[in-house]
Amino acid sequence: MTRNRKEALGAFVYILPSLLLITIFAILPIVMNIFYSFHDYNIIQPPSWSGLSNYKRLINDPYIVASIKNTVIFTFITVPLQTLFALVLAALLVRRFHDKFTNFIKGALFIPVIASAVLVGTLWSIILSSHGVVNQAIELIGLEPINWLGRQSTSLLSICIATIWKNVGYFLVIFYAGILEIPTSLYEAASVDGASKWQQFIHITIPGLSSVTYLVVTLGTIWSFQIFDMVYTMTGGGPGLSTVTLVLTIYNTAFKEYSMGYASAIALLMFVFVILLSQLQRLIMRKDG
Amino acid sequence: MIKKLLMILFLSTLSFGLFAEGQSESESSLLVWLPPFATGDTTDQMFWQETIAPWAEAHNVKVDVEITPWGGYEEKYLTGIASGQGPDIGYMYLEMFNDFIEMGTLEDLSGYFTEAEKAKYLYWDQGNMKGGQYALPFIVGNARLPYFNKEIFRKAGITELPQTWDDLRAAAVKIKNAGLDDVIPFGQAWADPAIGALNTLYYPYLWQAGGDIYNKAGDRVALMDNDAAVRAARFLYDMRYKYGVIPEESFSMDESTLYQEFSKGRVGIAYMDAKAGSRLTKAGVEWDFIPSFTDKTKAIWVASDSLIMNSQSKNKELAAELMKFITSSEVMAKYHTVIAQFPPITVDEAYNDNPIFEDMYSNDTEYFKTLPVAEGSFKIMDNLYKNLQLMMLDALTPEEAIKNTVDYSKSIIDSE
Repeated sequence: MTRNRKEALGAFVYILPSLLLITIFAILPIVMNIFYSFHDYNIIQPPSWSGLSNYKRLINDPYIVASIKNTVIFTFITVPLQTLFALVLAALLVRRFHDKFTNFIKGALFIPVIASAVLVGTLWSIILSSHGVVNQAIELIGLEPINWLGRQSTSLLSICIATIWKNVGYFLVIFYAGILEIPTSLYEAASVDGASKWQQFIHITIPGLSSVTYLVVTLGTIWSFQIFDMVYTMTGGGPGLSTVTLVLTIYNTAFKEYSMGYASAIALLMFVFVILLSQLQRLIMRKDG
Repeated sequence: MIKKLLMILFLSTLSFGLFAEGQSESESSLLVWLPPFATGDTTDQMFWQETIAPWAEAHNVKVDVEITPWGGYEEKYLTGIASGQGPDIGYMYLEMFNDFIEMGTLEDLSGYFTEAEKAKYLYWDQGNMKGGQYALPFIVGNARLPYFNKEIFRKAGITELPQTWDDLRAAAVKIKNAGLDDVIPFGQAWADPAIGALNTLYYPYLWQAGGDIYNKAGDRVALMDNDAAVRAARFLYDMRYKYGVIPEESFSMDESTLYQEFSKGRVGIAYMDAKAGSRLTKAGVEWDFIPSFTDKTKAIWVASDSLIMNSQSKNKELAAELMKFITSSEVMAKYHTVIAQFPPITVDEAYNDNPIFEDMYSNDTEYFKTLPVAEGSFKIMDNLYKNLQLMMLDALTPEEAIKNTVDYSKSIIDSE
């Protein structure tokens, strides 16, 4: 065996464990999902070939149209807002409150992240109920209370608010770590040159966080496409189809309707969406960077 | 070499031992999955372990009882049975039966019970579905009933409990016109995320108007077969928009919020489950009820959850014996007093549910209605709920809400 071959074999042995794990837990499920999407399958009986029928059903299913629309709207509301809030809060924590309340604020903001989504959903349902805190505050300023979860116009927005509240702490920690990585000498030089805090934030912090921002936006997008627990707890997809999402539809199709084949077709559709969106983000961020 | 041989011998012995252990387990053991119902100090797990222990000893069987939480209930059964780890005896509600029967996972029980034993069960026939006896009705009851707040009725000058839809409408309007502070005349929980909310929101009215969700064969949605579905939907729509007795608040309430508001004395009339009765009494609410309003007929939604036997069970005869023991009047009498109050399921058990409902459970059984065991029922009922929500938000007319559901049901049933 030549030295090059030995080295190549050695390298392969090193990557083999993770290669195996990725194959078993990532690639194989995708392949199986594609396989099942062309079958009638309920887990218990063997799958039977159904050709494109699951995909034909996708086209005419009102739940799918509504799910895609809601999931996309949800993503476009939550991802920018939670990214922005997390970035601003992280910057404030590093520059303004550094060493004073940092740990307390970080801890307080991180609690919703580790709390179960079902718990968060239930809490927000109470907060947004007709006699909840939000409506009491609205009534205090002389306005009519809002039926947050019971109206088509506000139900999805309510879930967005609850989700942003839950996610911000996680992304804040990532941004916080990212900001600490930016050399302080850059800020010192900028100060000497007379740059304001705002200018430093725009011209040093934001560009310095481009790779972190990419990570946050990509993770946020994937999470948004996976939104399920909050919807399941807060609205069940209603009123009407105003809050049905792709994962809720996949779940209901797979575990309430027992149509694994059709659920696989919807999952594949979602997979394609996420891939396309991630690529789009990469292109945009590369262009900006 | 010797080391390798020793290792092979050791592993063979170990695996044989494990295999032998597994075999003996499967030949003399039963796994039972039951849901939680206990509300007092005794847990379901404790109750069943203690109750079944003497039977298990007498039959020389190891019985494991697992209490399966309601969350993710269907997934637990689906994945358990698919992986061969399912129970010998389980508990299912009606919405689950169609698919599990279609998948061939449930054992036909008729051959395991003698005619005399079958005759003891009050609801034996309800377990006959899709051409087989796949269910042994176990929890039958917890009816959904119209409750009235007597104090609000007094303040509004209503002396008689409403019996018909017209009476209901008139009573709700009277409460509204009485100008009572912060009182909801007719409470409904249109923001409940579960499709089970229709058991109080819509199905009673649909049945009372003479309609049904599916046809008798269970293979076609029958909502458009007569005008009952639209009539029931129209009644609710008018209560909201023509008479204004269902306020906006109903669209932000789930069933538990509705109960809380009723127990605070804020709701005049509301459909709730029979279990709410004793809790309301404890909360000090002056309440009354009737079994059903009347339109073309009376109709009362009742739960009909059942015990099932897994067709993969290796000990079917023993499983059937255990099912008979669990549903015997002695065990059920204890269960209905210690764990949860429900009406009896056998002829020889005394009534142990709330005494207030005894007359209804004895004399109104002809009006009892359960959900259909039918194709695509989850998706279709979910779609019906969502269309009715839109109707109650004035985004669809009653006719459109029902027609949209029927159109959707055709796409679901045709595609299967």
